[in-house]
Amino acid sequence: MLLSIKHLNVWYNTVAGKYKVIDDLNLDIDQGELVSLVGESASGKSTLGQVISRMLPPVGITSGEVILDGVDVLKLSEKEMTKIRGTTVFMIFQNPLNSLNPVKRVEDQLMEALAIRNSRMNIQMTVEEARNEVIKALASLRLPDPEKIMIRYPHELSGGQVQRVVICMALLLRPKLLIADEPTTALDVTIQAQVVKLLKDLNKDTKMTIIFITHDVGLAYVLSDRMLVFYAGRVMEQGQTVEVVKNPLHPYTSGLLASIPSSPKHTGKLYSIPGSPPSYLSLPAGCKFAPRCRFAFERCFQEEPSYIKKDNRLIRCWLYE
Amino acid sequence: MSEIYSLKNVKKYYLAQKRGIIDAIVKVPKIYVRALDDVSISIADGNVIGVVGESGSGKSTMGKVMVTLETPTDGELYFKGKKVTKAEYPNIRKQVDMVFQNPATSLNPKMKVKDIVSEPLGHFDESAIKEVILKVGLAYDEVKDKQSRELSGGQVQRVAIARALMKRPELLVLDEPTSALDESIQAQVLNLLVDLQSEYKMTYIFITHNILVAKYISDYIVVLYAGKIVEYGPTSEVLSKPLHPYTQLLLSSVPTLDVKDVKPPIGDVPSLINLPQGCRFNPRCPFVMEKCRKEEPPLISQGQNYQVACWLYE
Repeated sequence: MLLSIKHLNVWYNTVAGKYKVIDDLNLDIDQGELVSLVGESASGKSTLGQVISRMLPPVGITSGEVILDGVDVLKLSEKEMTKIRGTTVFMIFQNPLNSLNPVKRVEDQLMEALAIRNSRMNIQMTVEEARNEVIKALASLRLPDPEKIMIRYPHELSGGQVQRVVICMALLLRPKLLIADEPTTALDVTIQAQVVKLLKDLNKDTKMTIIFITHDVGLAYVLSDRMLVFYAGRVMEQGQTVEVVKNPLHPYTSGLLASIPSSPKHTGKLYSIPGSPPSYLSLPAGCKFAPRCRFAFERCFQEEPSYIKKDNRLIRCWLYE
Repeated sequence: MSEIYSLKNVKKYYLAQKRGIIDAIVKVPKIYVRALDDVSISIADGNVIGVVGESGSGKSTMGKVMVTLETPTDGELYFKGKKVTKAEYPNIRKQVDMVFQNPATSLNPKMKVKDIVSEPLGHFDESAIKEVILKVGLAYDEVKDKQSRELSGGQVQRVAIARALMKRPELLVLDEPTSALDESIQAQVLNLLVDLQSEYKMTYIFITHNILVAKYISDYIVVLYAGKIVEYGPTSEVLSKPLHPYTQLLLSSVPTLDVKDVKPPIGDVPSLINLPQGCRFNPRCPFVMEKCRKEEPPLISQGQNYQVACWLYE
């Protein structure tokens, strides 16, 4: 077991009050798995990524256990955490330009990453060897002219190239867990397909565990083996990606899938979930999805369902009790 | 169905660098970004035209040229058979309108919803405002005195649509109207747009990078690549059996719920300053021929209202 999360709760303490953004989350991920976290904006999916890599903003309060590679990261000091960042857990963000130093050449940044890995793993390497390894990694990402890209600054590269440089850094550091937070949202669909292919190959060839955070269910379907559907800070449904997409059990999942346009307008109206997601400051009592749910009955408005197990899946819905 | 708008060899070039007076004196050559290069299209009344393409393909520029927010460098525009000139702009702007991608930045944050919506009219007419706000699915009494920051993303986009509808435009350019919205809200806004279009008999130019959305809403599809139309035809035909190799590659990179795989094309979009010789897609094209590297293909007709710019179909 690479990552084991038990009863994780996260609150944000703000001027407007203390509110819960993740409620009782349990998740086990094995080495080599490709898991996607799906949900609309402000559903808590990015917060989970930030908790695992300990990049939660200072207002965040956590309780529970996040055991990554045998250590509870929530109990580590900032100094100890810095030591495992990069080689144990690595995070890719939506805007790759923010992850690179704008005043350093690509080469210096990648060499630095390699030097950190080598020092943590006690590998001796000459500068020439290191350079060759960086060039090899860049070439394996199908970046044309790696030598030319090495001497560029991040702003001289296109969005897709910068994102690939960040993924190259992950390739050099060989993290046990890679968290990708909407890495392709700012990219064109053709470049997105290239990045997705790359992540899939990386997972297959190096057994790197990947958590992929996205709002695009189609993308999550193409990429992942397992899927978690987030709504209002709760994991509403969890299971094998193919099963969840082909046979969604939770009304929110089926609503979300039905609202993706797939056929032309003359074949009928698009299904849309009525209403809009609730604010964390005034969450409804009972099930958080009940006010928008077409199957909601009395119990849904009074009591919040906990995880209910059905056919290899965990669902937070009273329908399946 | 009559033609409502047509573009004839429209070009829009932007200067890539600022030119100071010294540059002009020593005659530094002008470098252009060719955002829109020789685009010709005829749009029939009452249809939804989906414009798809990657970023930098010129889709937003095309929309802006059509609503007269940008003046083309070269070429001619005809609106309802009448040539579009600078003197005609005020008249045309009464009949065309635009909805932008990010409603939060296209609405004045200091103004109340009722004032935003009434602004195109030039005077305050509460019953007209109320009618149009109800039409876009908002409760008038609830939102009329609010500012845009008090509303959710979907509501703000509805206000932007209401403002565009106020003048009862005949042509509405929608530039990525649902890209900033969540999937469940996107479906609500798309349904609204379809209803409004059939009710007001408007023509939509629907600009989007999302092929699935374009497939849902449009009757015709225009595929742009590096400032040029590569394929134009009825949605059902273009998206089910695309002719141009670029359209084929574009469709195979879209993640869908049918196939658990994507097939990305090789390479990147060319720079709009240094376009490749011949067909602009030739460095990435799997079917490239000798001719493609030398000559740029024109739009070749493939039956009624179907055109493709590729030497394969000569």
